[in-house]
Amino acid sequence: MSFESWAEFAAMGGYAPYVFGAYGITIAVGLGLVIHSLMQQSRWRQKQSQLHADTET
Amino acid sequence: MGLVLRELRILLRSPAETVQSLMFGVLVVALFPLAITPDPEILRQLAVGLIWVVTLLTSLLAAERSLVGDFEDGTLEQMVLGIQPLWLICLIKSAGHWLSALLPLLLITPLLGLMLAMTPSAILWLLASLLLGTPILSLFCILGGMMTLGLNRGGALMLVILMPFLVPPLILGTQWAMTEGQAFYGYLLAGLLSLSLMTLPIATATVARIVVSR
Amino acid sequence: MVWRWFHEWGSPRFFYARSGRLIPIFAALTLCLLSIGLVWGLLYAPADYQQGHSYRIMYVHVPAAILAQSSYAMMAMAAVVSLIWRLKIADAAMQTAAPIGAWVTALALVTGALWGKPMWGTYWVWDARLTSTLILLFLFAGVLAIRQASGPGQSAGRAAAVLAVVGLINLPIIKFSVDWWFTLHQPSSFSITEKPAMPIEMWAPLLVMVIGTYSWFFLVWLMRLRLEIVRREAKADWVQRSFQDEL
Repeated sequence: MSFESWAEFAAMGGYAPYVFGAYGITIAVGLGLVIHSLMQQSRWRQKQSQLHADTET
Repeated sequence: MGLVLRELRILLRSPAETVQSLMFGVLVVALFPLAITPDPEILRQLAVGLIWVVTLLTSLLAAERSLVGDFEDGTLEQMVLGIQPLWLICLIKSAGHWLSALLPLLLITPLLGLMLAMTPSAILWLLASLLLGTPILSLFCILGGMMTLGLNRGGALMLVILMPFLVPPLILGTQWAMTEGQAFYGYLLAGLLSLSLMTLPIATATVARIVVSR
Repeated sequence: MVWRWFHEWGSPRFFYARSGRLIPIFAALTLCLLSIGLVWGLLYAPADYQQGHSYRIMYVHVPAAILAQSSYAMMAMAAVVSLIWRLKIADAAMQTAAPIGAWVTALALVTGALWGKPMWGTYWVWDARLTSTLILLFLFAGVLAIRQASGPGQSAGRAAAVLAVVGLINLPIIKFSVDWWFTLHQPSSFSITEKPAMPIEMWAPLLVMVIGTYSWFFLVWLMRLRLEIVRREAKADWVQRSFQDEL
């Protein structure tokens, strides 16, 4: 580990806002796209099962 | 040949549109000293870039109307189905766009240059760079215009589509003019022009077929 | 042999059935590599002697920048295939790659700006690489815009495909002209000096991050592509059947 303590890690040598900002945005976009894809998928499934229910009744 | 004549006839019949793009150029250039400063030193530095940007915008504005008529009255469909090679028609369309919108602007460029306090030699190099660069703009604008035919908000869409492609001629052209003819940029611009001349009419023809079939 | 492979994978049904098995593989790979890479880069990699800890932004910025360019290339390749062979899959692949690529490009720009602030003292400079990344974002925006405006379906995607291909040819021209433009105007205040070679403790996590980011891209791309395929083929028998199997 290249940091002595968690406090030092949190400070990032004075660059904390930039470093954690960049990592935060990256993780947000990375996770966001995966979640968005999953949501679209389940929305499509719901629509399809509704269609099926409609045609069966 | 008949096609060229037809294109010319259409252009001559509607001088109002050519005048419109001229007015656009003059008015926008007149706005810059008002918006920035009347100081000739500063204007001189900005002049090449400003006139290039104005030319680029004029070219974009004119593209839609040089195709929309043919699209609406079915001429485009005739052209796609006709015996003449489609890429040639697209090339002629680009030439027509250049003649009607950009050549007049080139002719008054010395005037625009004087408005921005340019020296005569700078104006000459600006003209040379526009002469080599504007045909590239025309070729791309006809491609973009063809792509957005029949779509909503075609005009705004065209700017979004074409902006990246207009960057290289803009950079090379302004660099060539500002370095007052450094041969390197001139060669590159000429190379870009010949590459565009060879490939873009073919791409435009492909798009024309797609547009007609949709 | 190659042609048979090509045709099999070009059929939506075959592709859908086979690619489903790849999803868990990519998901596991992405999760492993990115979590290792993030912890390694953020906690264990040594600080840079010049830039201190701010260089750690590199571990998210560089993979995003690399992926931004290659995702455009992949999208344009799909466009070429869809123009020449009119494969349904290729058009769907192009359409689904474009928004992901645009997000990654935007990410590269934002992380680059966040790195630039401590290093150059400003969020944005008209540096050659930043500028060409910005233009890459505009290229993606153009493809997305025309795709959106043309409506759904394979034939509507063809105009966007032509645009993507013309963009691919233009990409090196844009890059070179931006480079020349920059060298002509380069201000002396932040001239980029040649950096010494990175030690392995620094580039190993970077490598992990780059591979992990690619794996993430393929994961998201596949998920969206599979959904797009069943959407377009919703009326087909095999979609209905596979849907009922899943219920």
